[in-house]
Amino acid sequence: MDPLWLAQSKYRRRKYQECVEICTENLHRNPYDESFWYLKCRALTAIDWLDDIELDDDTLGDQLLDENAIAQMPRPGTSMNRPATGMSTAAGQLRTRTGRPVSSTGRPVSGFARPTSSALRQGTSLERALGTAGGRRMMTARPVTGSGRYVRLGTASMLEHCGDSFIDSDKIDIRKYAKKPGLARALGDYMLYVDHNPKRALELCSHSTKLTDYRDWWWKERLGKCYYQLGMFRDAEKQFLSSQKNCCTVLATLDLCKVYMKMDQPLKALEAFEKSLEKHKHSISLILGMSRCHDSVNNIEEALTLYKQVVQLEPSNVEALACLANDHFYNDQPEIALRYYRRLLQMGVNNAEIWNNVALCCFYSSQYDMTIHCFEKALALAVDEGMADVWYNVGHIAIAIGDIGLAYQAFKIAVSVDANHAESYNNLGVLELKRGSFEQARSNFQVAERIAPHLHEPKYNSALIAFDAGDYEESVEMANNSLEAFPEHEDSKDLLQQLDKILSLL
Amino acid sequence: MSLFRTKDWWRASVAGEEGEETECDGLAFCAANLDNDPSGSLKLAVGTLGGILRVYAPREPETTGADPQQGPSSHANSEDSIIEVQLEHPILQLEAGYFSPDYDTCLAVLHPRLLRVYALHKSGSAQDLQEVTLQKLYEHKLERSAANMCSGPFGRASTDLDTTECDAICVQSLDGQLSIFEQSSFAFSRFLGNFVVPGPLRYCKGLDMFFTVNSSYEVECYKYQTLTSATLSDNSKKDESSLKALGENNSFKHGKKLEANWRFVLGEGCVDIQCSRFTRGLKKAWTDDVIILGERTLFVLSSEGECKLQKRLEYPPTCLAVYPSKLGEQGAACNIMVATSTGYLMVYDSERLIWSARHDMVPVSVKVLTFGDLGGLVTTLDDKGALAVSYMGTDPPTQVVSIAGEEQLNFEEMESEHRQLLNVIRQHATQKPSEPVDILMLRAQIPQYMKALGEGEYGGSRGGYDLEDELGGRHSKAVVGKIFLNYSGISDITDVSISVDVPEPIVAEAEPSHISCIKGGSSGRQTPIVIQLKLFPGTHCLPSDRTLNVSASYQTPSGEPRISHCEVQLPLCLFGTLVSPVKNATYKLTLDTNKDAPQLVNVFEDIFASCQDNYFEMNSNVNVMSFKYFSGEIVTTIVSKNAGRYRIQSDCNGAMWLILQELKERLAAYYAAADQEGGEGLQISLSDNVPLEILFECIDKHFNSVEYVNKLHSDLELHGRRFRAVQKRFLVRFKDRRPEPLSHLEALLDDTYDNIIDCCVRIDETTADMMDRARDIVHNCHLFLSLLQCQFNLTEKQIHFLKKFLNPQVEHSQGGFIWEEYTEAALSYLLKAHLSKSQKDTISFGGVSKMTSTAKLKKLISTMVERFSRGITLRLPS
Repeated sequence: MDPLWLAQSKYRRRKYQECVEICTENLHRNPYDESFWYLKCRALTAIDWLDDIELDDDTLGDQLLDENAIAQMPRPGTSMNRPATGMSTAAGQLRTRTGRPVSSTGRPVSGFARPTSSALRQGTSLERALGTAGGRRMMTARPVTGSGRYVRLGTASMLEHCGDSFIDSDKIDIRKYAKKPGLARALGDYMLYVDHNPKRALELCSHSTKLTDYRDWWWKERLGKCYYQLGMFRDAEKQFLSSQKNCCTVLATLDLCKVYMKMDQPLKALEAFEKSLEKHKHSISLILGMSRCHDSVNNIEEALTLYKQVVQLEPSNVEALACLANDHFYNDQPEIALRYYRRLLQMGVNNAEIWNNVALCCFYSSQYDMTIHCFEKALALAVDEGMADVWYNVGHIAIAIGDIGLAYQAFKIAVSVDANHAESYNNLGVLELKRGSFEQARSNFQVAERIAPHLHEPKYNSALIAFDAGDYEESVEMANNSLEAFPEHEDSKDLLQQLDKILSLL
Repeated sequence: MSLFRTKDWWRASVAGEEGEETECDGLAFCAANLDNDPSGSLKLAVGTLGGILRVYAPREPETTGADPQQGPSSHANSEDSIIEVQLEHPILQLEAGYFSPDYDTCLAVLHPRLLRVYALHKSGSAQDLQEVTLQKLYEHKLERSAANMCSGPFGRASTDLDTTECDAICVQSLDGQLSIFEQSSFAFSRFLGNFVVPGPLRYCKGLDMFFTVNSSYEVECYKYQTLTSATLSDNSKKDESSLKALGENNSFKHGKKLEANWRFVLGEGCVDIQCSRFTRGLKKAWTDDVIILGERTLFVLSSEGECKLQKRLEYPPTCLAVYPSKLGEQGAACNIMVATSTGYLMVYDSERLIWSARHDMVPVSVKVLTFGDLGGLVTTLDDKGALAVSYMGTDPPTQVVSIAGEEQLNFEEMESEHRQLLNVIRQHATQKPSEPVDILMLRAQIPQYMKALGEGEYGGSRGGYDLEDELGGRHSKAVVGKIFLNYSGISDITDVSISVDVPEPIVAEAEPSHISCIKGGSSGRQTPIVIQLKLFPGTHCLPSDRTLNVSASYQTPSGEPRISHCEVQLPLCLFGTLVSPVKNATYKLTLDTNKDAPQLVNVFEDIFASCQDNYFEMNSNVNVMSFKYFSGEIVTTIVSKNAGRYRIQSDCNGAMWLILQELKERLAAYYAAADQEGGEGLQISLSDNVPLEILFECIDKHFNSVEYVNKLHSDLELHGRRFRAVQKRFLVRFKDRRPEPLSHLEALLDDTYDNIIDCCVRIDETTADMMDRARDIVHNCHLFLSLLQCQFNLTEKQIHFLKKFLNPQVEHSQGGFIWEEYTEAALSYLLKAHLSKSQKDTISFGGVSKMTSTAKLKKLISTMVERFSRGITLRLPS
């Protein structure tokens, strides 16, 4: 049998490693065999392939050296840095803030964790970047480094024995390859996805674009990708737009919108999505992208209608289902949320988070017997970070059924699992206050505040304590802090009014 | 992800004997009525890379009352297998078609260098006893290694369907030659352009077109006419070129490269191509669409090469099947079934996902077929040769996701367990955890004299702290002490590591510093492990402390990390030596005692002893002692014998602290040894007030120095930013195709660079200066505390407590708080909480804050001294 045929067959059957072995062996014999070179190139790319559309972490370097300065005070609803400004009505805003827990940037937590959702965008200063790296949850404290961005964990170490030795992109003659259309595309992908050398890929792309008379959408799209990886967003945008003009592909649209999101222009992204949707009416990728975009500027209503559209097109879309369930839960419809979560469970999603959510839904829809079992299951499946959240929820349930002792223990465990679980510290503080240990409570609130400056609860609680102790000055300060974190917090406002009265009496 | 699973209807495995590896490619699988059975029932033919050809006729399994949930009942019986042949070459592809006028359906088998067409021949009469044999109809030897093939009524499809003429076969070779065979005769061959590796090849009957995907991720479409017409123009050229006598280049005689009718850039590899009617509601009968399954996207192209639909797939697809959505209806729009490498079958109706089901294999080929009267059966083949015919079960999943704890809950038991646990927790909360008995005891023995070390003994790694000039000796000297590790526990402890913390400028060396295991034993005490400790004096600064900290960390068998610790006072001889008395000095301190003064020699016996003999003899009776630190400062102590008065003087104020402390301690010890009867205790008092100005001056200097360093750092940041900005400008200029002139930018760059370097050098210098100032604070702080003790008669405990607030340790961290700020915060708390007239209940700690001037700190220190002098006692925490 011809080894080339076998290698190709292996490639078809997704046995890339074996394919690479066959190719390597034959290339050893004849290093100039283009067919084997091409196949090996593609197989290596397939091994290291990573859907970079979905991936967008700000690396530490990016955060440190980001100089794409955009308006410091964006107009309402135009920036992801100040999502709270996005809501059209104050009532809507209130709903989102009081109902849902918020992430550290003030956006409501979405029902589905994607790699992007952990990216922090606030501020660009050095202190901020380093602060977030160290100050966040212990397990995720490792900042993303430059090289790690497009490398899958685990494959990073394998790079040298399969990647580097094959093609040295810094040494090959780019012009020569650009003239061979059969090889050029595979080489381009290899340089982007295996070698992570956007600079050389950029050269190849620009030569090839020139050779194809600036009419090939694919080369332009890859050119944009290279620019994106190099951090030149405006150039990337230009390329993606031009690619779309040649042929309106879903891929280029997604890329383009990613650039817009990176540049913090969600409205621009939405516009691009809409334009592309006219051509690709029922494209789920586009609709999902749009709803994420709406989500990121706190426009929950819009996002939900889009998620519903997605579910109609693809009833088994996990992301859409999870987001819908999440919304129902925070809208006081735990029974409906429970149905969604049960559906997800039956579909085969089986992790700690989902059991945790099922348990909470059960609890709030008064199916107490199920709650404990679900939590047990969640704890059995939970690892590291998730564990703290599960215990935190157990603590909540315990408070709700009046078992303060259990609640105390649960929060203690949550804190022991994840020393940076601010919410648990806050609740521990409240429990300590109930027990009467004043100092303990105060230190708990202080810890919570230090870990998570975005939470208003510990600040408000500190204010209350100070008020009770008669330290009005501090109380005013803390209440103001709390209002800073959450401008619509009624209780803080009340407290401030009360303080005003007292202070004016003095 | 899906709610549903496919249900097995029939199943077989192509794999031969147990353990034998079988490999099947997705191409070597076809379904047709191969044995030309009158009933028209479909047969499945599968070829392996090992050359085994098997043909099955799946029949509905007899449900023998077994539970339909159990798969094995649906396994194929031997009767279902019609034929099994071992062919001599690997089977690359199988294709069924009308390849011979004698048989309705024949089987074309593609081997690497051979194309054979077989018919299945039946013999015998009775239905069950029929014997089926494979009959070779014709074969073609192939010049080039074959990659794949396709078949169809080339050239006649679109005009009129002449059913009398047979289908032709087109074989693609590995180097891009298309060869067309019409039955037993070879028709012609063509080369594809821009060829690297062969892509999938598909012939569309409705359009009479060939589709393939080339290696630059482009779909290429060739009309059959294009293929044939290329020959003509080619032949004419060939004649000309053959005149030019291209010798034996015969194999390339049809070398004219084809030009595609249209191309479309997919931008990714292609998994499979199918042609079928896709768009609904169109009246025109034969407008087939090309459905292309890419590696990440599903494309639907029209016959003109326009993209009708593209759908990004969130999973890696493995194969594709296209089937009419309404069975039996010709020309109906089709549904698309995609099998994924995650083991799911997804069914799409245009872009809408209408069904997805979990399948228990990852197929390399999938088809939707009809067996008997049962339509829509999904036939899949995986690469291990497992063949399955299944249907989409619409039952909701039967195995409900179970929640543990089906059994009845025993509340009493739970209650008692809960109580028990609560007890444990409560006990844990109330009782302090008891220290384990078996701990590692540390003891350090430091002699009072220095020892000259031999060449070999000196730990070379440290570099030379050679005190030759000072001491006149030939070799380095060191204090050689011992650390004893006493372990009396029963179980073993592991990973014992000893660390020694010495104050500046002493350097220590402990050998060995790590012991992997200390055996425990029940048999009484064991001999302690001895660790040699060498302490080398240093010359670069005054000592900042005189305590040596030894700590050992180890692990108990249960894995708990533990630490034991001990402290020792360092001998005076490590810090300096005696020199001939110096009379004059800038700073002087006078101490009064209530006892007669002893001879200094008696008090400082060890230090006199460690000096050279002649010195001792010369000065033994003198009441003056000058101690010279290795760093050069001299402190002189003068005793007024009758008045019991001592004077300590030096040119350096800070240097006096060590001697003062030593003197106090030694005097106390001396009188304690002398007065056995326990007479009046020794009282040391200071004749003057505690001098504050010198301490303040130190603080000011240090503070200024810190400020200066901070300023330099911010300067550096500024210069750095400027440097980068200039660099960026440069880049912009250079990148520009028609760059603007530099207009002295390079001068700016040079200047900024110089500034940065200058800044760095100055930071280096001033940081060293800052450290010196910090040491000044340390020394003066020590002195201040000692004097405070003398003047206000503070107890040892009180002074120890005070040390926690006015800490004689200065550390610097970039961007953090500095000593002055910490001390300010600590002292203001001290004054409120422990040094006030009335005792308050709760005093909150104000917190550390940045300071701009040292005025407040100085005021706090003066206030503290003033309060002491007003007789307010320092309250110790209970």
